[in-house]
Amino acid sequence: MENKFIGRKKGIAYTISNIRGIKWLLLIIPLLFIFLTMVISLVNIFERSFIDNNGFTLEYFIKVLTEPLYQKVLFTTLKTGVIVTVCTVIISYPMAFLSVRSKNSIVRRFVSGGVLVPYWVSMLVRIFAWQIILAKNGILNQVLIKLNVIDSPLEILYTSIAVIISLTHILLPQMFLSMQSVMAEIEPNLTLAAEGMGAKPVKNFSTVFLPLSVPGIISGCMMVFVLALGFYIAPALLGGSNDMMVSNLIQQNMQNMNWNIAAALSVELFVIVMVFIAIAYKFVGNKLFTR
Amino acid sequence: MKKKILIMITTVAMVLAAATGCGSNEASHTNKLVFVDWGGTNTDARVSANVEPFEDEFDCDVTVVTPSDYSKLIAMVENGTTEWDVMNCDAYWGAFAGANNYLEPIDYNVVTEKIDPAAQLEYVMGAEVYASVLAYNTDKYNADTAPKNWADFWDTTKYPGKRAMWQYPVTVLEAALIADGVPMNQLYPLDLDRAFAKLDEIKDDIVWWTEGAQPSQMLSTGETDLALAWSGRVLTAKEEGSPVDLTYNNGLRIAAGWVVPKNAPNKDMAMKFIEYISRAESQAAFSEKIPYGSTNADATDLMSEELKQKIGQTDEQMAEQIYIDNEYWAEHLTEVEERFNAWLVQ
Repeated sequence: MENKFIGRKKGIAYTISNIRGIKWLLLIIPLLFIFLTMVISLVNIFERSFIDNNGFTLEYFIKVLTEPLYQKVLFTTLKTGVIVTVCTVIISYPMAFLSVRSKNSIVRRFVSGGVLVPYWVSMLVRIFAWQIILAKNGILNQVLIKLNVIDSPLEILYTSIAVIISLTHILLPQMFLSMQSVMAEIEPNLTLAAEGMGAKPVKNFSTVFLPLSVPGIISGCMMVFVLALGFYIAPALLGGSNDMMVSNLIQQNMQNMNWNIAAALSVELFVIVMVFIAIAYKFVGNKLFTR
Repeated sequence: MKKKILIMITTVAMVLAAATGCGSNEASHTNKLVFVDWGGTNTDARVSANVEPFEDEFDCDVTVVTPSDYSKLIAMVENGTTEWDVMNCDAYWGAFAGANNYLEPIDYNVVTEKIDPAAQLEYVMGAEVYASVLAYNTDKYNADTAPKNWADFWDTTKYPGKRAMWQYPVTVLEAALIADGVPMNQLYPLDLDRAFAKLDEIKDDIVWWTEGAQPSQMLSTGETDLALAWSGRVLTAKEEGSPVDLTYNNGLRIAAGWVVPKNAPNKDMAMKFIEYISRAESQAAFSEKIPYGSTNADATDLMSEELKQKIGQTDEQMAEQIYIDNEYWAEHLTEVEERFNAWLVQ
């Protein structure tokens, strides 16, 4: 890249990069953007969680941490996040492996395309599609009844299962891309060398390939888990009353002008996410953020 | 080199100008108004029935913004950046927001139209009306075999299967109390213990909905045979050919309302707009387009018998329905919703 740059001294990119102070400008613009959109709002949220019209108070945190409603909803949120993360790992790993290591280029492309094309479809459309598939008289139940697998329709829609299925589907590409990028970096000669040394395929995979792919799994898990925690629309449209997630409660509290509670809930989620990121960082270090 | 940069800057400036709409100026009226509504067919109907005639009569350019967003209104007022002049919201929410100082009081010197007292409040002027009604799948039931009231809705032996209900305490608790035998005119203040005890009876048979379009969808796909649903949505689905119908008996009428956010830039115009849109002719014109009821009793006189029947505004139909108490909900929504949520996840 750099050689190309120098080779074309008169190129427009070269011209721009030589303007004085441009480096600082290029740094300041995104920093300013992040500062305005994220830092200020975050500070505001933190402030609201322990300062109300009467000044400093821990009332909202105490409420959020001790009342059964908020405890239960937090537990549901974490549980859903964990289950969805595990599901995406199980489904993505073999797919990412195939997309990188398959000797057949059609298979490689088919797998990548199969994951990525749905990713470009609007999330709402995918959620509505799941409504149609999982409904009581939906495609899934009709097929299962025709095949005599079940006698009466399964009740999946408006239960936690529907939420988990749809979130797994929606977040799968995140996991897949994260794993794929790490797996693609694994030197093929390493597994060849292990094979040459007499390692059987299972041993080869478990001692060479799998450990090297762990950073991809962990950064994928972080991404999926964090995104799943904040999901709003899928639980609202596909879940039952037991699937209320923290984000649904935050929205309700905002409508009712209970912004302090909404802020306390947000801070709670924020802290949990930070703790998880810290743990993941401890395990894989910088690789968590390199793609 | 400098020339190149100059060209670039000019190009960028031109693109920005085009994107932000400088230069294109459609303003043809002297006054301005920013009007916020829920969007969809509802807003389409309102624009052609009410907004366009208003623009001509009051020499005013109306900017239509969708959807109504409660949190956004609050944020605007809190940050002192109010851009909206008039918004359509649920009347009980308006009463609630008004009590918390987020709204301008309605100027009843300007707004002189008389509407139903249940929907004419200090901070809210009632607009169109819908009702939480008992709706059913017409493949399963007909008008004779369908449940007639909330007590029937609760009867799972006579009407087995799942029923859909709004995942929100408003009107759901009222329905529970009516099912338990509380007379419709003695509902308020709600006996919460009694209502939740009644809801416990059918908790396992309820599928909850959160968006207004869901119950009609649940009914037409057979997910549930019965629903507590909003009349306007059910009627629209029925007109589109879905196998759904409703009864207005025990209907719980909810008025939507007009509110003016605190420090609205065109407050005076907003009041004039509310006066205009509350006129009998305006409300009747809106109801002609979309099956929502009206808060102005005179509007009913302008409607055909068939339309009255459809939107539940014949005298007999009105006698079997009740308006929800906006002031009760304005005062108790927060605590009741918290209790409702806690009950849901129990």
